[in-house]
Amino acid sequence: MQRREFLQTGVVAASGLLVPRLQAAAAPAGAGQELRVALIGAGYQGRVLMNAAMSIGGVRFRAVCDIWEYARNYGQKYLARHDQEVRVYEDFREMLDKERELDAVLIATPDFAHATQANACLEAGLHVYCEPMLAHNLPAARSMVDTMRRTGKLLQVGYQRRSNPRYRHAFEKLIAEAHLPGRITVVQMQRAQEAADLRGWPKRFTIPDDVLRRFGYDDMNQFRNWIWFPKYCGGPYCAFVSPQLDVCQWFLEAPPRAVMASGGRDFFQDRPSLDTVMTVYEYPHKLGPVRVSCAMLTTTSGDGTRQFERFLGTEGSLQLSENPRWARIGREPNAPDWDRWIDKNYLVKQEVEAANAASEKDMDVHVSGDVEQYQFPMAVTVSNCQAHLENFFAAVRGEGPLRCAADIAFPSQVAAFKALEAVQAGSTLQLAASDFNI
Amino acid sequence: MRTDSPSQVTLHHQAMATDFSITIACPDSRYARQGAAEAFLELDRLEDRLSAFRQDSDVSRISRLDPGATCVVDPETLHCLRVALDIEQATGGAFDIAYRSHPHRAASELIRFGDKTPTIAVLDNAMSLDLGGIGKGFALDHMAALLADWDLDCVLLRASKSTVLARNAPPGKLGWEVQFGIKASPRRLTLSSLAFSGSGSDVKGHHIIDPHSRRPATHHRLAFATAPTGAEADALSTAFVVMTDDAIRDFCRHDPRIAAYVVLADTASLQALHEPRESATKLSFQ
Repeated sequence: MQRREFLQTGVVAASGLLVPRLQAAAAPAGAGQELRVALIGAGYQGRVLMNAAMSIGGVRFRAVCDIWEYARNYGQKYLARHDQEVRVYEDFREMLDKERELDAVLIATPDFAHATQANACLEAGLHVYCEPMLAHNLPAARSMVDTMRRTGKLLQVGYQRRSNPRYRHAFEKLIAEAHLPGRITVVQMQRAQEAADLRGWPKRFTIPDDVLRRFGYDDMNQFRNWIWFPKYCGGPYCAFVSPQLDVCQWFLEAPPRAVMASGGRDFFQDRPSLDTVMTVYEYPHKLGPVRVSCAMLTTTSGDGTRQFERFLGTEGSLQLSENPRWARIGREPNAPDWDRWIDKNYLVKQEVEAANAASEKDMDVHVSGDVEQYQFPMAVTVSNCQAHLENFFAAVRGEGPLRCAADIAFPSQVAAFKALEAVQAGSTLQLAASDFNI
Repeated sequence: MRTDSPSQVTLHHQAMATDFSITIACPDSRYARQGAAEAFLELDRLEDRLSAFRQDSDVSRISRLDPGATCVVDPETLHCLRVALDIEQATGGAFDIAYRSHPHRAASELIRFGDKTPTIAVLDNAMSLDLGGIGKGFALDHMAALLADWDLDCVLLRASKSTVLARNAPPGKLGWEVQFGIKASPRRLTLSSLAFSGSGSDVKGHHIIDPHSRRPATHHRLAFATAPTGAEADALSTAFVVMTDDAIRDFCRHDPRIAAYVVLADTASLQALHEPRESATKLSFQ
């Protein structure tokens, strides 16, 4: 069987082991019921998921699966410290075969494994939370949406900004209701990280070659640094930027209609994927076109700012970031006042620091045309991951809809992969509605 | 940032509002850098949980709890809190992570630990925890444990200029050499399998609060402590700034692994209040 067929059917394991059976013993989860979950992929992001899930309550892990003994042992020990005894598995197919009373599975593995694992879990009657991207290519991503729809099970994609109170406030209150920051014409996005070595691993915990090959990896270096190898994913651009493209899709309420891009292996010439990519998308917003620039940098922290999405409009700017330090709102000098929105506690005017105010007075300099700065009114008191997982578990209990089901996330997958095509083509790509059909 | 020599590599990382560094003696410098990078990831993870400046950290979540309420925390947060309360008890309250609570009650009177799970219950209002006197040393312990997984055992870890944790000595050496004391006449120590920390008013002014008087501690200008772990050394050096000389000597008599040195206020001489047997701690003066 070719890999493509394999992904389309999604229920037959590479080893030939069949896993297309429902978790018949599992009663449907209801309100207040403790959820029985398993984790596939106990690396860095898997640990973030475990930690966030423990803070939620009402969740009991039954199993941890990872092909790396070092990671699955960490997961087992971590959960034991939460008084949760779990069984560990190397192969998720064996886990699905033996764990008959699960409600949901959390997937935090490299992108190329997502479709196989998520489709098998959905077919087995389980709800799935999957870290983004959906998959390493669009056919595999489509297969996941198809399986979600066909099985009627939940497939949440881990674009956690969708559950971040600051982002939700920005869209629901400021953009949709208050129409701030006016007519949006431009969005600037950046995702930057400083240059770093490829990730290593403790030598005595090296995975044997036969195990690596059985699970599709060429070697240990590629297992640890899969993000840099096209075989496993869309490279750093898709991994880092697709969450921001999802915010654009969400806020602008439409997928892009064109993309132009430039990128290259400018610095890390020993790594197969692009290390620097600059893209410009055109979105057909209902109020007029919006041009979105996007910078993906892996050689600099961007003067420390790292990640932000900045929506620029005729009345101001709305800058968002998962780091609260970089979240702010600015009002254009000639825009109507925002007192009404301050009164409604939609935003808070940023006080000029006393020292700065005195300094300006002493200097007797009046600066006209300054942008007034405002802040978001809320503190985000749980981790971004926890808020999104809470939404998933609530949906599993039937207490509300998912905020980022696979079909909602799909357009950002298309937008990300099409940018890579635009780099290759060296020209602007027009995107048709059919590109986003699922 | 990194600095390399033929047999050692040193990497730096900003976290907990200060500079951390790891120096590793290892012939494979790339392997050493990769191990250090993973240790810094662990440091960032701990900072996310322990920082009072992050609204979603465990410490902030605990501080927002109503009396009688509980919350689940990361097991490492629980571990750090347990060590902090142990040292509070051992030092008679001279070290207290709730020194800012008002009206003042010691941390041990304000929080309770869950039996089987890492949960924290808050017993009273006015919770305000500050792990600034122990968090950096605690982080060094965890980073060293992670590096041990990598078989990177010849390491010196440093948080700011105040706390170091030495594991095995570099090849051919007795230990890792560090300087401490007064700038004009620094003393040198050779450390292995030991943590060392200093606190006082020379750098940040009188920033250490005596939990009993709720006023800045001024008895000792500087205090230094050795201990088996970074967390203990970090916390004890803070406590020793607050404690009297006699109290410090009495404390050290009960735990021969601890060394204590102080510089009295308005003086420039370093006093050794307690020096453990060298064989017990692998500590040596030069």
